[in-house]
Amino acid sequence: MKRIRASVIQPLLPDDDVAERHGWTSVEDPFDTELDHEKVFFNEYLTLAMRVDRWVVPGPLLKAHLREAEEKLLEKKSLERLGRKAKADLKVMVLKKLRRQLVPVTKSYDLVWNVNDGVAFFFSHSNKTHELVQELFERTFKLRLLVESPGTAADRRGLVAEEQRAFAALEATSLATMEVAS
Amino acid sequence: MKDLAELVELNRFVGREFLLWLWFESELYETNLRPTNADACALWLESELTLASEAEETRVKSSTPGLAPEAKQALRQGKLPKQTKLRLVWGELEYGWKMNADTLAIASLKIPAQLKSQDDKYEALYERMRLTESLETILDALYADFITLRLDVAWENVIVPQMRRWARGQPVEEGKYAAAKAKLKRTKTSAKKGASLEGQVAQ
Repeated sequence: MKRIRASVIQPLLPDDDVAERHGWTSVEDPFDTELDHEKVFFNEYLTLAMRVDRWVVPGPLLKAHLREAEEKLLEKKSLERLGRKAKADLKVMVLKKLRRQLVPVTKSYDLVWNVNDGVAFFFSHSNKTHELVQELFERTFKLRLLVESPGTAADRRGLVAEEQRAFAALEATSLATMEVAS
Repeated sequence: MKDLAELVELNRFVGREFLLWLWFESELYETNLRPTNADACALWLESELTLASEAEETRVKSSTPGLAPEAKQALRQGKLPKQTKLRLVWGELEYGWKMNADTLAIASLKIPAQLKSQDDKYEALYERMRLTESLETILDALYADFITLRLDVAWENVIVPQMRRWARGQPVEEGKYAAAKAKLKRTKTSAKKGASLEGQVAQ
């Protein structure tokens, strides 16, 4: 529980330098971060939700505010144009200002891990989300989460060394016929 | 094969061959499959099927896409099933899901759950997990049978020629196919017995 609590999601604040944050929450309520044994363990199942919070500032809104801020700054400093660094700093400042008027976009994905057989079900198909949950799972439990694939499923069959070599050497099957190719 | 990242990426095409084999068996045995280490079940392809070879794709939408002539034609062009919707009936339980062959990922899973989330949360979770794990057990058993066939010479010598006949609309020599499967099953069982006897002797 200690490790899980250490990896619960932390609030994403407007002045944070990061635009995204992820961490564990309760599977029943993605805004509940006060995790305890009862909320997480159901006999052999460990249940958690990975919540991902992200600042999404609409492009046109950012552009309009940035233009306005740029004009003000040019006028204030009596300049004709801004340098690259000044532009970047201004963008960060405008972004943070806009974030104060918005709330982060929140998404949550359930994870149910049968700790007896070592199989975890994760309810998302996005590669990016897979990467996030793998990193979070590894950080929390010091265990590697291996994605299911034809290769890992074959390996779980407990192939002997000879079968492993045969699997690695397989070539793709084709039912193509000359009749169609011609 | 033990490098984990490598293992995940290794021979992803095998997933497409697994789907091909499920489709072949489902048609050959009129949906009735008998996995070695699980109870018999009925399985069939439904509503959509995508076949692919490199960048070329054929999409078939029909209540029984596997029976569509264009699906078999795509096989004859060298394409393999990449994604489909499957339905599985096991006893009184009925499942439906979309399967991605390259990852073996299950999407849009419909399970025959009776309890709703407003019922006892523990019971509802157990029911959902029990049903999901039952499906996993059947799919694992089918995949194990497929891998046994795929790694044997019978795959090239018997199974692929029979699949070619099937793709061409010719009658499958069911006896030959069943004999190859039965022989493999016997070999596997006797190998296991041998291994367990060795274990007993060692004790």
